[in-house]
Amino acid sequence: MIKKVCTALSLLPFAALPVSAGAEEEAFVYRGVIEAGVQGVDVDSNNSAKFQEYRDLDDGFIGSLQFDALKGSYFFQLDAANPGLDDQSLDVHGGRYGKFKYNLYFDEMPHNYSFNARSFYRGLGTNHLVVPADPTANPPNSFETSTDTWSVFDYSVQHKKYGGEVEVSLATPYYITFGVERREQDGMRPYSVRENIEAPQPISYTTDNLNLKAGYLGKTFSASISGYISSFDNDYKYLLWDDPSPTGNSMANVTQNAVTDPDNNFSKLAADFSWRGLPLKSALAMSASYANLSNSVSANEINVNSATMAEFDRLNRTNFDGDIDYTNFSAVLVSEPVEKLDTRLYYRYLERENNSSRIFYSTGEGDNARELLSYDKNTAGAELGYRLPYRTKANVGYEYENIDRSTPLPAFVEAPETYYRYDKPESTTNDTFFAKLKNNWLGWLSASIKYKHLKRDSDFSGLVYDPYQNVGVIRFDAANKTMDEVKLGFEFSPFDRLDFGVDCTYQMNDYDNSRESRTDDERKNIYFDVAWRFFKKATLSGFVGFEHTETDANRITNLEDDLAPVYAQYVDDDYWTYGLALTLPDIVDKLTFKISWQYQKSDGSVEYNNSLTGTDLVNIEDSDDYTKQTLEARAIYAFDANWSVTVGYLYEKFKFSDIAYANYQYILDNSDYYSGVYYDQNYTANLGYVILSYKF
Amino acid sequence: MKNKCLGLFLLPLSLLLLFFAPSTGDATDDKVADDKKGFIGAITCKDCHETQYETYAKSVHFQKYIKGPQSQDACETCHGPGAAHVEKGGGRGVDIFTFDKNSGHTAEEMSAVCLKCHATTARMTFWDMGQHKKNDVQCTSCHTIHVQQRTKVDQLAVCFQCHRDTKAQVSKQSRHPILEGKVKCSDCHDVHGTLSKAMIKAETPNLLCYTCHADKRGPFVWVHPPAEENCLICHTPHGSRHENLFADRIHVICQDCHDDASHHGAAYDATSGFGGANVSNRFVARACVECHHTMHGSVNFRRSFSR
Repeated sequence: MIKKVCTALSLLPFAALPVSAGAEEEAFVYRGVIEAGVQGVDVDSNNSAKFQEYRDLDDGFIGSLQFDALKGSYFFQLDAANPGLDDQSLDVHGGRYGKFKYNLYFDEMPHNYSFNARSFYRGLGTNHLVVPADPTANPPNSFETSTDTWSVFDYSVQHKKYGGEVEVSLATPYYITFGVERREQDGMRPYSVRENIEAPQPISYTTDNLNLKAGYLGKTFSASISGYISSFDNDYKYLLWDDPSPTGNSMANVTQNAVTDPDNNFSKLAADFSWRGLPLKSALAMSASYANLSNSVSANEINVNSATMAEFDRLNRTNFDGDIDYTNFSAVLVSEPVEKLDTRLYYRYLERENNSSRIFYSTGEGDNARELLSYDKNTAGAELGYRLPYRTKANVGYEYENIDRSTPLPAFVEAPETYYRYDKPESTTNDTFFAKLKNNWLGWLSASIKYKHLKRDSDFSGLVYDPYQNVGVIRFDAANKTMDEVKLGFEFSPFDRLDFGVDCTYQMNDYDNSRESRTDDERKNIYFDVAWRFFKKATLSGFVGFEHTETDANRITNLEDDLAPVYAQYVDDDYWTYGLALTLPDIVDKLTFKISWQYQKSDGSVEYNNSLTGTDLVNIEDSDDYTKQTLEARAIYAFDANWSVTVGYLYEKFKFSDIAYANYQYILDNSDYYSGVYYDQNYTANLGYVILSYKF
Repeated sequence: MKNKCLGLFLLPLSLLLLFFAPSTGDATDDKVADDKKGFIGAITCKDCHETQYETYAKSVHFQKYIKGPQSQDACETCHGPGAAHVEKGGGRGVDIFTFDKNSGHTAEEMSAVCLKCHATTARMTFWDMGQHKKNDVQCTSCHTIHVQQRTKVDQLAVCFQCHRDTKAQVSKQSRHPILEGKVKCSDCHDVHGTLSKAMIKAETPNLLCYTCHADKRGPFVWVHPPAEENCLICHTPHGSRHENLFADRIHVICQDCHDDASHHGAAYDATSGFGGANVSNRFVARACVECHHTMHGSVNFRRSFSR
């Protein structure tokens, strides 16, 4: 299908040819930039992929191309970057002004998680992980006890995206847009085949997307209908693995089956319209869509059978038909009923209906029905803005949002206890109010203040097991809470060439009825930047960002028996970043110099209050702590209007520490096996490059 | 393979043919309307504003084939009639419409100039409904009209002028490839207005995330309700101190809901790490994810917790 579509797409420009036949000849104008150079990289790290997480930085050639061509009403633009590298891209735009345009693209990118990871498994990258015998042990073990003989590999997934889109309007108010796209992912990603056995999951994903849109664009009225189809295919739907641990929870020495991500098909039909010029200077916009997400998974396809699953023979069915419908409707009405007053009324409706198959075992053993989440979401709001004297604008608004998850909540029986899900409140209602005042009377000074208050009420009436309601261990995102937030903003330009900006936010969330779980959290953020343009075109800019988060929780550790908190937990996270950048164009004749520096520091901790029940928990001081420094300098010398050379240097240093990775071990208690993912992310990198540019 | 080669051949060939085909002399009038009252014509503007004229001449606005400045009143299409400006000897903002932030014009007035032509484009359909218009962002806050040559738009620099919080977040250790340009702000947000919250390009955050993360769509036999409802309950999209864009340290965020019997609610502290006195395989390395790797859902028919 995708091949046919691509061929059709490539032939489409031919269709436009007759339109231009017989027309007068126009001059051909072209311009562009070609860049070519070399770079050298020195990275000091053991296994860190962090420096190259999303980029291909290695010794070798680098280059880019920008080419623009114009011929009468036709235009053609080409951008190519990093040819031959793992993060190369090619982007072509073209068309005929007012008639049609097209875009073709190819873009790829690595996602490097960890280099030099280790595993005792063989067959890495395939969907059958095999345990070798340890030849050094006597008698040979069923797995290798020395990590020296383990397989070494990289956790890395290569992403590729390519496609094209054509828009045809033929200088009429009508237009059609048609696009196709394919996304591919190949490589290995961190996975756990069983509890605490880290191994790579082979990734081979393909997603094909197709979109079509037709619309009308008038001065006051516009409308469109669109369709979108997306198909996801996974080449490795299951992963076979040998269990190396005879004492593990899974059956020992038997090939086990892990099921991975299912194929799926997503389709969507949408209609939009907007109408300007209504009475009271109003504009109305509406959007409606229906989408379906489906798949069909047979036990046979994912290699689930009585050999790989103990409960297999008790299943009511061995085929799962996934079927989820999304129905959306949105409407917004904006008006200016009287001078200086603007209003905005909006309504959004979302229905998510999960009609997927119900899988159950035998009577009394429960099923997956409580998992098939369906919900309705209704959101309605009103906002008023009024322009006061002295260029002051006042805005107030109110929003009502209700999420209704009133689907059956059957009991989950696991003898002798009966459990009910405490993470699925029947409904949640958010009432949000905001007020904002903004003034820029002075022109060079703009200031704003915004206050927001949210009150959330959740209905847990579906949960009939009393202790859960009393204890109040409920999912924090849906728990009753009040939120107060204040935001301050300043834009300050005392001189024509000097700009300051400051944003501050204070947010407090109080989970009113949660005696356990998260009880409150507080956020304080401040961001500042400055830009100073001096001499002719020189620029000095700087910024500072600081974020502080505190999250408090009471922990009960055992939901069945202990109704009072056992200990209190305080999570404290600080994040700092600051940087400077200086650009000196024509510092001396034809020489431009740019330098920038950024520093980041993340400092987290988890503290415990042991006084509640006399626990002796020790505070965590290293909680996702890191520092990162980046220095980049570039000198550009222009030989003439066409030729220039750039000499650049990049320095990066990243240092990470976290209690969960300190004193890392590949084997723990002879039953848990780790592969080294994320364990040593530190690196120091130096990169230098020389690029010759030709502008034409 | 044959089809692939054919496609590879056809595509550039068709584009080249199309490009070199003679173009039409469109029925547009490139004559500047200097005979209209108060209008002086672009040549007069050029006498004083040569640099601006040169950049205009290289821009798409100079195209006479579209309904734009060049097919109307050139410079004065956007800046208004210039006769009074010339009579008074020129000067910044003197009897001429400018787009400076100190010009005295409101954001709506400035955007209205651009919207005279651009209102009837598909991307501007919901401009009136968007947060940018409501918050007095005008077209020239983001778009530079007079540029020497087509430059790759530094979208980050444009957006970060106002969104300072996002600027601080995108460089955190766990992030999307935004700084590398592989994910752009406009991949997720429609800056020209939508009917959705935060001007995202989908009806819900999940439907947006599924565009790239199609493997997380399901449908699943076993689901994790928060993951089905809103990805943003556990993840923060612009950047995080914690791995995998988690909104908090992983065992903390899990325990905020799963604080019950068994190991879910067990206390993990500094002694639970690899080097501690009470090492726990529920805390070390990737913690909860080391076992619960299918937290987005699973199609395994098995009831086992790791599914």
